[in-house]
Amino acid sequence: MKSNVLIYGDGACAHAIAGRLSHRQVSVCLAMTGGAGGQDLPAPLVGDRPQVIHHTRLAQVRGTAGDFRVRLAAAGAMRELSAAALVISQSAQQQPTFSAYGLVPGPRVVRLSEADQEGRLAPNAGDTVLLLNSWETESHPAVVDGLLRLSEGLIRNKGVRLFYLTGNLKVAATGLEARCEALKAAGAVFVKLTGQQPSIVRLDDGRIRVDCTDELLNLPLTIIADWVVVDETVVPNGESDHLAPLLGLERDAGGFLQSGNVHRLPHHTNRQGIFVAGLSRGIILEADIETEAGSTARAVLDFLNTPLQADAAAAQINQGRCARCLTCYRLCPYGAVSISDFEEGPRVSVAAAACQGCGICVAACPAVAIELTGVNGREIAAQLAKPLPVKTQEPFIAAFCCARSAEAAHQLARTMGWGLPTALRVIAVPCGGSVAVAHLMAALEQGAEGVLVGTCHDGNCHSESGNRRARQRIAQAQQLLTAAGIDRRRLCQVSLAANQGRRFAEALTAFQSELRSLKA
Amino acid sequence: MNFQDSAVAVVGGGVTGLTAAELLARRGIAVTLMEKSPFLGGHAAQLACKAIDACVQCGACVVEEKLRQVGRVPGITVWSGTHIDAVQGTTPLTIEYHRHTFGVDRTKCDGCGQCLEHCPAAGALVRGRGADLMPVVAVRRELCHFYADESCRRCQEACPQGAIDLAEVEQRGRLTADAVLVATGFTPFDPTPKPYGYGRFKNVVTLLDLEHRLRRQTLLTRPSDDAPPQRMAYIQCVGSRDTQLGHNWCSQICCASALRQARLIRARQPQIDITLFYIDLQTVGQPFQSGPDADADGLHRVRNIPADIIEKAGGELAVIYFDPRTRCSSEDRFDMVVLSVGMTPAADNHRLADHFGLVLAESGFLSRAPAANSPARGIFCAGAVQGPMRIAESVRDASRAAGEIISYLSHNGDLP
Repeated sequence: MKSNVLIYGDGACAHAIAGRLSHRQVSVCLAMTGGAGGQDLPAPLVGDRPQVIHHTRLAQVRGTAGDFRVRLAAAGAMRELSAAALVISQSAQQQPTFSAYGLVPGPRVVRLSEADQEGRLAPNAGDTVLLLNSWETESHPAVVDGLLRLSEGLIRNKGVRLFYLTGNLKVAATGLEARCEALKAAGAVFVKLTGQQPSIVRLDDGRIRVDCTDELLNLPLTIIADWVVVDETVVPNGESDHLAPLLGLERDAGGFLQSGNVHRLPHHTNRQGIFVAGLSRGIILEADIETEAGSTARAVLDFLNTPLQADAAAAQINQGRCARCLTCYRLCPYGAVSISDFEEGPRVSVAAAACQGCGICVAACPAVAIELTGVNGREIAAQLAKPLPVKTQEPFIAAFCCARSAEAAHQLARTMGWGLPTALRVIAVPCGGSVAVAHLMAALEQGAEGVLVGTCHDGNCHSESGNRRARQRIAQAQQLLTAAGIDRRRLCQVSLAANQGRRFAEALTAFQSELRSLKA
Repeated sequence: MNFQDSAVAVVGGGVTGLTAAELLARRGIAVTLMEKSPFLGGHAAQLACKAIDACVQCGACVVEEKLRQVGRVPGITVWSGTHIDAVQGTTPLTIEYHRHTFGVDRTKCDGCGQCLEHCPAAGALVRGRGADLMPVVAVRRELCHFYADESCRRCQEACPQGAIDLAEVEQRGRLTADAVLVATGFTPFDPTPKPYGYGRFKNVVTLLDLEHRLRRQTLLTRPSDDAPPQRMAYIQCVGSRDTQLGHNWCSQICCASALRQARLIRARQPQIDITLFYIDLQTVGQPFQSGPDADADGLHRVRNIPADIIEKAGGELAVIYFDPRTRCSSEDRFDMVVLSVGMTPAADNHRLADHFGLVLAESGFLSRAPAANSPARGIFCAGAVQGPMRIAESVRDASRAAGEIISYLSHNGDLP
């Protein structure tokens, strides 16, 4: 097995991934924005050493999973290479928080990442060191981990008096609570602040005086500190703004290069073959970097070892019908649609390796030029035409249900014996976004008195936007109904998680009674 | 690498075991997934979705996805009701076990539910899901009248499929495996010894009890009289960050779970007033600011852990706490109190450590590395058996362990 993997990023995590992959005989290129220095890459037991390119930037990425063509800009020249997979693992930025405490940096006032530097924080035995954490800013266990490591060193090696003033102590990571307890036992004083803003004054001799209230004793507390260390907040690497559109990656609310969608765990992105690791995907603890690198390397190996998806399971564009309007190119959440130049003009096609079969393009194509097994008018019509198992006078409901969520909820409701309307035909679809306006109308034409589309909740859709597309299409179809004098309430959308069997039963029953009331 | 002759036993069918089993089976490894309870999915499968309109990233649906995948991948044998008695030998290991099938033959049961209608003992028959997602009913021996005095066989008589055999006996057997993954998870802290009246006061429930309730009820009611509560309280860190108990860990999941629950309840029933008693808010990420915007969700936050709960007339609960704002002891009345119980090590961790040569940490959780003098190689652990972990972390840790097992089986013992 010989595959090319491009790892883009500086720092320990990128290095560790490169080491582990080349160890597994994967041909690795590590492209770094910075220069040499830092750690040396371990020599693999077998295979080649990773190729390392310094002072370079990712300028362009084309192609899809298994066949990316990458341009790297270095020293004014462009360098091209091909890669089966990409891993983005950059460092993050630590931002100081001096102003949150009304402080300015000075000889005795330092930020956390500087406090480690030789000679920057130089207390004598008996000095008072004050650590400030999360008064008004939101902190993170990774930052607390850094503050605790600093405190442990200061108490053990320097014999200082240590005060840790915190608004909210984040200890939600392995070992942090126990380390706080150990520090307290070693003499560190932890002071909690709830809604009080202590006064901070810089004294003439450069020391810092803090006045607050000890909330447990309800007594005033004055600390005169020889040294102050302020915490930091961790934000994504500044290049993320450039990389997200370049790679077509979703981001989370904090700007990291992995959406908050729980289905992306742990290293996957919306682009097949593009992986994110370490501080590129979120804030992680230093102690977890090795584990992070290992699990990323395994995810990449799994990808390289899994045969790429066969064409049959992917969407296919009928070139004769395609009008080259590029709707599919715009909408594909996986970046699986590519445009290539042919002599007779541009050709739009779906890369089977990157297609996840969501069918969003199928439903959106104005020329009805895209085929995907399971999501076409014929198959849906055939399912609708099947007679119901029991004869009933109840209004007939056709429910298009996302196989990942609403269909699973439907199965759960059946398993648990929760009552469902008898005149119900559930049509499992790969994604709510694969249901076209034409499918909704066809269901009504075939005798359904109401049509429901069951999707994932916003932010939970495996294809990110499928549920929003479904909502848009229902709204469009409702306009058509209104124009035709049919009540728009015959179409509705419900968002459900796979474990909401009860909600599925409730939603269907409610829809049934609404349809009954329309009938009356 | 061809693993067709390799066999791995995964002990524990929670989200960690499911994830690892699927990853191993996808590489062609024969996996036996051993679970002591009747159903797969563990604690995570009992959680409710807490989305309001949008997903709040609780991860409860992730285990549903894993259950479906395990049902689809060939090569996974699921043994529910299985307990390990002894482990012998080294590569391969021999695991002695006993297992029982909860009175119901799942190959015959079609989940019609007639047995449930005939059962006179509340809770003695439960429905759940097996790996293949087929309906499965299980008999809980501790509640079933048959196991008490053989006085009742109504379910067995009622079953149209003849799937119920209450008199079936335990099987004992041996399984050989090239590697074992211990993924037995955690035990939720039992709050009975705490001065909160759990088990005595009907309207004091745990976070998990409420998750079960929210799976069944869209509109929440309190247990004492099934009326919607007016005033609710959450008490955080019950059994976590507790030096008296020697629990010097944060359980990591409860602050976010409590906030998600409370916000969901208030979104559906805005008239319910909710107070959160806490030490520090251990939420991470954007939706959970503990800073100035924190009060946008309308929850009252009190930074103190109450000392006592007293039950008043009509199931009302008086919560006694030290109010950090007035710096006085205070009493507030609620009609439902939720205890955010922490994650504690399972009682049988020491037995597992003995069986498999694993190290029991001082906390009672298992340490990842096998004991230095361990006779057996090929033993791995993953997930919350090592300490508190979120669903997302359990998934990642399961993938780590699966990767280590694959490396081990390919006989080079290398990373990754």
